[in-house]
Amino acid sequence: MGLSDLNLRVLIPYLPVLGWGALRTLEVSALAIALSFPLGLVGALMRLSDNRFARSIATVYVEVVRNIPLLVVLYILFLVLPLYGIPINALTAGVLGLAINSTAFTIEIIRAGFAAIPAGQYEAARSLGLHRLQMLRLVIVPQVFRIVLPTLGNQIVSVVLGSAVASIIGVSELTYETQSIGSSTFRYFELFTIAALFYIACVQAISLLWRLLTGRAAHAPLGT
Amino acid sequence: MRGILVGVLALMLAVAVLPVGDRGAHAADSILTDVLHRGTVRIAITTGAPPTRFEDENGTLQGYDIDIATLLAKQLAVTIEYIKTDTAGRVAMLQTKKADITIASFTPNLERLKSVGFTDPYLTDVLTLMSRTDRKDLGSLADFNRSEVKIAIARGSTAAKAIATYAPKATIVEFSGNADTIAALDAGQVDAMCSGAWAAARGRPGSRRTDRVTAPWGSPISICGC
Repeated sequence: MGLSDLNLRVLIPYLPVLGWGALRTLEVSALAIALSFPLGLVGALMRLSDNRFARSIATVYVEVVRNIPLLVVLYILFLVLPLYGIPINALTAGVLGLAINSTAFTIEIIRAGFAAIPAGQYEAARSLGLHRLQMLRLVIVPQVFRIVLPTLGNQIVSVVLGSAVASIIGVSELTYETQSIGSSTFRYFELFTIAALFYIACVQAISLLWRLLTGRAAHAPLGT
Repeated sequence: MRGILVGVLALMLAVAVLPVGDRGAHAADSILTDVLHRGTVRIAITTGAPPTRFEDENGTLQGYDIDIATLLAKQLAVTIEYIKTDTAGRVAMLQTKKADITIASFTPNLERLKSVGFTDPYLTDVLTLMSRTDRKDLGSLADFNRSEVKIAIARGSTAAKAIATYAPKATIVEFSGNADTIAALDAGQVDAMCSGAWAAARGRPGSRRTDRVTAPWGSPISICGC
């Protein structure tokens, strides 16, 4: 079996199933991103805060979570938590696992964004008499967003692609459906080719949504 | 003993040898020749299914299937290279020529015969449905035939067809192998699991709350022969 045997037509009946899988991939990824980006901002602020307690919590979180494979996080959520009386279904475990993982990376991305803001910006904001929250909201955070947007775009891609791992706990997303169809048709070559195309479409769709949502922020003026 | 489940299909454990596909007997010759030339037979297996195939404390492969593999290699006078994969990966390993043969619980059926060839069956097993003893609402087959009942199966196993036939309304959740289906059952993520009785009925050290009991389900049906 090789390229010459590639027969995409046999998979036409399965396209709707793959389509539903792709939608589930979009759902899981979008939810995980919607959870992890705000949490990432909060975590980054904690990491940079003067409060030692908040700072250590955020630091420990990043260092612990960033060093655990997503797969292991998913297994812990899905198989271990219920043994301790915490019910959690596959979809929730998938979304939470991705969000937990993505939050750690998002904290670091946003922290780097804050670090890139020149000290003069803080001084200028303070000299205008803005209190701390106003300074963050009006001066610093808009600039941070401008700086971190491209990197957050990468993070979005990695969440969408990472959602494939959730297939292992039975979340019926794209990879799950692909493997499921593969196990009865044995058309792995064609299937994974189509799955790859679907993933490209999924990433593009979410990235487009992200650009629409952040269109204005991406063009915020940057101070020096 | 609160009976939970259940035997169905006669499940033949077979050795799948040699992708036939469009090439037929020629491929058979060439793969055997390749193996003899190479001096090594590459065997795709799944693990975690005592007593037929599993890794002992030292990571050494053990079990009935492994014994068959060892005997085969001895008679061919070649060494064995094991390739570990999951239930669904067995056919893919043969198709991509990463493995020469696979030896793992493998029911011969028409669908699979389009892609791979089987030897004569060397073991007959039945499928069982199994649930936790604390699920007293799951007794007869009809109890499982509800859409809110989730049944875990190893992806690519013939359990999917059996469930579609005997409990068509149940929701199937696929995992990569029986270690995961048992773990999901233990964690209460699924209501039942369906697998060969050998894999299901073995005692499980470290099992937490699932005291699994199996009972006959339907009448054994041979779905294939080679």
